[in-house]
Order: sequence, then structure tokens, then C-alpha cells
Amino acid sequence: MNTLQSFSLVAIPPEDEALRAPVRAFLQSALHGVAPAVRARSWMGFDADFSRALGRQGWIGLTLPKAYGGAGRSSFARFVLLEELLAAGAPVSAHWIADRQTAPLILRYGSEAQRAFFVPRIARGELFTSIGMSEPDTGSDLAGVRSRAVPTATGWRLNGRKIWTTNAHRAHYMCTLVRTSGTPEDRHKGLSQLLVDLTLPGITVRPIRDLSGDGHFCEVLFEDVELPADALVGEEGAGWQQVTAELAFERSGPERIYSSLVLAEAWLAELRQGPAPAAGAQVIAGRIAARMAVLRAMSLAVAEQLGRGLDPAFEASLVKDLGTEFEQAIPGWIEEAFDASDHPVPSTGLLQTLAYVTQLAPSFSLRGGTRQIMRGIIARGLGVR
Amino acid sequence: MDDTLLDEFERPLRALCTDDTLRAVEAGAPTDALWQAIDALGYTDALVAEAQGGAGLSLRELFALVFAAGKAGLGLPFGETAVARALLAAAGHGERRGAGPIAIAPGVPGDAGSVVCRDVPGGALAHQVLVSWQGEWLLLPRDRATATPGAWRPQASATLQWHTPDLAVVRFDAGAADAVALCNALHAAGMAGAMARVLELVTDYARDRKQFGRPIAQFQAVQQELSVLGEQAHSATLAARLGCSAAGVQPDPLLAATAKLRACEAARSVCAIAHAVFGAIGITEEHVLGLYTRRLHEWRAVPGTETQCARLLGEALLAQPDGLFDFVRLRLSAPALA
Repeated sequence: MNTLQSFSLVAIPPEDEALRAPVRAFLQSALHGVAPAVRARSWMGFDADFSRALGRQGWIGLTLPKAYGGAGRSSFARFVLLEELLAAGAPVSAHWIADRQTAPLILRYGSEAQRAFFVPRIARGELFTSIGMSEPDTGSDLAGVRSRAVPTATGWRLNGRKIWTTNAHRAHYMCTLVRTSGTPEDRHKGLSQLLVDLTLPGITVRPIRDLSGDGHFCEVLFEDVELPADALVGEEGAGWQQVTAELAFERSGPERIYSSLVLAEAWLAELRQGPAPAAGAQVIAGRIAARMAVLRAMSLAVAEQLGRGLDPAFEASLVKDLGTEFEQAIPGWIEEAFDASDHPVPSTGLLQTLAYVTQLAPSFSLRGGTRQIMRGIIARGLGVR
Repeated sequence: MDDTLLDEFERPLRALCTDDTLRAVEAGAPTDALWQAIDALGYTDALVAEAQGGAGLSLRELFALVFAAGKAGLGLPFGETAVARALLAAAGHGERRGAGPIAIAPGVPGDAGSVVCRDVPGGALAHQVLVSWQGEWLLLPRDRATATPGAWRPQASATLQWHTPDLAVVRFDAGAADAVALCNALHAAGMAGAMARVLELVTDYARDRKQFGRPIAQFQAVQQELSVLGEQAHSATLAARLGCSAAGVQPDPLLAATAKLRACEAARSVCAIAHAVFGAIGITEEHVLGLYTRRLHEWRAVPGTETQCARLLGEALLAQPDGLFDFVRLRLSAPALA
């Protein structure tokens, strides 16, 4: 693969850039006074009221068609919106997954009735979704999914268990990948995506606390859950192809670059208030800026390719691996900067933010496909696998 | 014009830059014939205005050519010559440019009023050096300088010292020009090209070389390393594009520093992984890999170094009121195409 062809330089068109000012003004008032350690939750912060307020602004489902309650805007407009949300540390978790994955999935593969039901509710910030992929024995190797739905006279009967399902305890639906035909030996064949109403009988949701004390991911048990026939999205048995088609959207966005941005901004703000910064701190600030600039250019290049309907799986994996590496490096660089000078003394709030990001940083390269999986995809793109 | 120019340049360039030729250049063989052949391809006047007989291209367009030169392993300062010819022509000194290669370097004051250019890549092969010196450009003949062999490429590069700036055959106002920014942008592009070639060499080798009964590319441990190398090479290429994104001849100093910093970071990992995969054959004189990794190390070591670039960016970030995100967005982004 020629390194010249993978990423081109693109600039955000002025009409999309124009979205930035109103979004920023809205966020400044909505997030006034929220501490950095809270804002550092970034796209893991959950606030249903905030999501509904964002929906009222028309800022959920920005790229979705107007006919389904979307705004019909470009992938660049969405890029601008996401950047502003992440830079501000807005609590976007409630609607994030539905906006990024479930709504586009339903638009692409769903029935007209599914589109008409789900997409406008998602765009209004009223219907939140979770994505059920991992199982106790099935992580990166999703072909091993054991949860199973069997056809019944009225639809499907679902049994099984999902784990690490973000927001299952507060989402309305789960888009889940389950086996509907064949056996695990059939690998990716026979998997399907079902939209499960989480209020149905037979579903038990148990939140799992993360190491910082937050509860965002869950274990979900399905025991003889009766689903209607129209719970199936797309084609029976084609779930794997449907899932992988969406991955480039999930892997290359600004959320793979900016997870430590609130921390970096908080550090720089304190650095500015102190005496003239030490050379060591300047060097670290410059390193962070340069790395972020190149990653942002790469992410924009992928957004442009996605906007043209291409499938940049190689490029998206590259952005995710390099982007999460950058996010994970920031806490260590800032600790180095603290050591480079006795002044300014970091505030308690900054140290708490650093502690939070440091502890959660390992998850940055786990969610959405692990580092090793990304590198496997890249190796294939390079022609060595 | 875009990267289509690349093909037209790359093919004849690679034919000229055989492994033997590259090794000979590094060993001090005469380079006049090689330079004449490259100059005859017609790309060295790419940035000179059309009215002055050039192609009137921008640095943004030159990028692909400098990348190609780096990828071909060309040891002569091709990109520097193209820029120097454009600057000289624009200042009305086109007739003084000479036919030979021109290096570009920042000058610093040496002993007794002398001008010193440290670690100039290709400085021993250039006929002249365009030196930024106290707000001016000086075109200095290389044969009037005292040369100290370069640490990495003793026959090709050199630290050069002229006993007085008065040895300049041409001097003109530098305006906002900055030799460090130009070197950063051009070197980053050359480095990205060199890393692309290393990526090619190492993936080819991993597919051919068999151990334990199969090509080493089939081992997951090797694949993961090659992926990291590929990521670094791709990222450095886009960074270099960003560094060279100016619509004129002069790069934006902050974008150029971003490009060089990213290229230097990437080069460390690219060199280490490439040599690890190649094993012993990669550290022989006979194998071409060493020529490329040596070039990369030299580029890392010359002004502006990784730390200098990072410091420039950090100072600029902290000297203005915006936060990191807005600084990156407003100051470190590609300008829209006109």
C-alpha cells in the first residue's frame, strides 16, 4: 500500500464549520461550572436531560435524512459537532451509541417500519440504545457468540448472556448480535442483529462498576425472552457483515483522539496561570499539539472518505490505534511536565482529573476493537496477512 | 496538479538511483552526472514562476516530488534546490543560481565573524548553500567554506563555515522567510518518502524470508510490528503533506515544525522495527536498508530537531490565549485549497 494514497489533506467546508459557534455557545451555558474531573468522562458521561436538550437543538442524528427526523447534514458537520462535544467534555453517553451506530444501521438495513419507529425517536434524544456484542466467553472473537434466538410462531425466543454492554441499565433498546442459525463452528455465518426492548420479561440487567466507581457497563441475562418478528434488523444470518460495515464509522471519529483532551486543557490552563513555563513543559505541550494536529487531519481524511460512501477500514483502524495511543500517552506526559518544574503546583481538581484519566486510559484501546485486532486489520492492508 | 506528477518523476528517478549509485554517492563518488540527469528531468524549476521559465508550482505540489526523492534514496538536495531556485528567481537573482545542487540551511554566528551551518544534509555535495542569516538570504559557494564531515554521512553531508558573510555571491532580504521552517517541511517530506521505502523493503522481505517452515510475515508477532511501522509511515506522510501545505513557496513555520516532529518520532520506531525484522542482513554494508535508516537518523539530528520543533510549538501554544483544541484547529490545520 502506497503511503501517499491513504490519507489526503482536507479542510472542513465553511458551511459545516459554521455549526461550531452555535454548538459552542450552547455547551458553554449547559456545562457552566462542571468540574474537569467530571467533564473528563467525555463520551462516557450519561445525562438523559442533556441528550434531550441536544435533540431539541437538532444535534442528534445530524447526518440522518430529514424524512426521519435527522438534519441531512454532511459528515464534516457531524465532525464539527462531535469535536465540540468532546472538547467541552459534554455528557453525551446517553445518545452516543444510537446516534453513531444504531440509527445508521437501521436506516441502512432496517424495514420501513423500523426506520419510522426508531430513527425519529433517536434523533429527538428520547430513545437510547446499547450494543450487545461481547459475552462472557466471547470478546474479540465475536464469531463465538452463543446467545441464541430461535424462531417461534410470533417471532423469536432469545436466551443467552451479554457482558460489558455499555448503558444496558438505562437504555431503552439493545441492538444485539446473536446466533439465529447454525453453530459456533459456522463462525460468522448464522449471526443476526436483533433489536431487544429492554423492558420485556425475562431480561435481567446487572450494572458492573468500573475501577473508578462509575457504573456504565452491564451484564445482561436473557431467559426465554419473547421477541416480535420485527425485532430482526436486516437479513437473518447476515449480522456479521452488517456489524463490520459500520465499524469504520465507529473507529475513526474524533472520540478516538480526544478522550484525554479535557485533562490536557486543564493542565495547560494551570500552566498559563503560573510563572513562565519550564522548557520541559513547553516541549510536552508542543508534542501534544503536534500529535493531535496530525491525528485530527487523519480523522478528517477518513470522514471525507466515509462521506463519499467509501469503506476505509484500513485507514479507520490506523486512526484508532494511533489515536488511542495518543490519548493514553497524555496522562504520562503531563506527569512528566509536573516533574519538570516545581511551579505551578497542580490543583487538587487537576490531580483528580489525571487520576481518573490514568485509570480509565486502558479502556481507550479496548472499546471498539482492541489494539491487537486493529493491528491485525492493518497488517492485512499492508499485504502481510 | 496533484500526485499524478509523482509517477512521471518517480520512474526515471528510481532508474537513476540504483542501489549501487546510492552507495557510490554516499562513498564520495562524483555526482555531477547524476545531478545533470536529474536536473534534465525538468522538475528542479518546478517552483520558479512561469514568467521566469519555471512551472509555477506551490510547495503543496512540490511535496510529492520531495517525497519521491526521499523514497528513491537520492542523496543530493533536490527539494532544497527547487526552493532555492524559486527564491532566487523571485528576488531577481535567477541568473546566479548556477547549474548545480543548492542546499538550504540556517546560519549561526561562528568565531571571528564567520557564518556556520551545522550538519547540512547533502552539504558536501551541494555547489552552493542558501543560508538564512540575520534577516537576509546569502547564497554562499560551498567551495569557499571549511567543511567538517557530517557525523552520519561523512562524504555527503557537512558542517560548513565561511570566514565572512561577504563571501556571498548574492544576498537579499529574507522577509518572513525562515530556513529552519523550509528545512523542516522539506526534510519531513524526504523522511516520509524514505519511510515509505523502508515499509516496502520490510514487507517484501517478511513475505519472502522463511523460518520455521513459513514466511515470517505469517507470524502474528511480526505482523503486529509491521503494522506499527506502517502506521508510523502513513502518519508521517500526512504530517509532511501538512508541513508542505502552503500555497506559495514558504511553509507555515508551525505546520513545518509539526511535520518534522511527527517524522522524527515516526523515524525512531520505523528504523528500530525495520532492523529488527531484517535481522543481521539489514545491518550489512551490502544491504540498502542501512542507507535509508542512516538518512533518517541524520534528518532527525539536523535542525530543527524533534525537541526544537516541540519547543517551538509549545511556546507558540502557550503564548496565545486559546486552548489546545482551538490552537490545533486554527493554527495547525491544512489551509483550504483556493
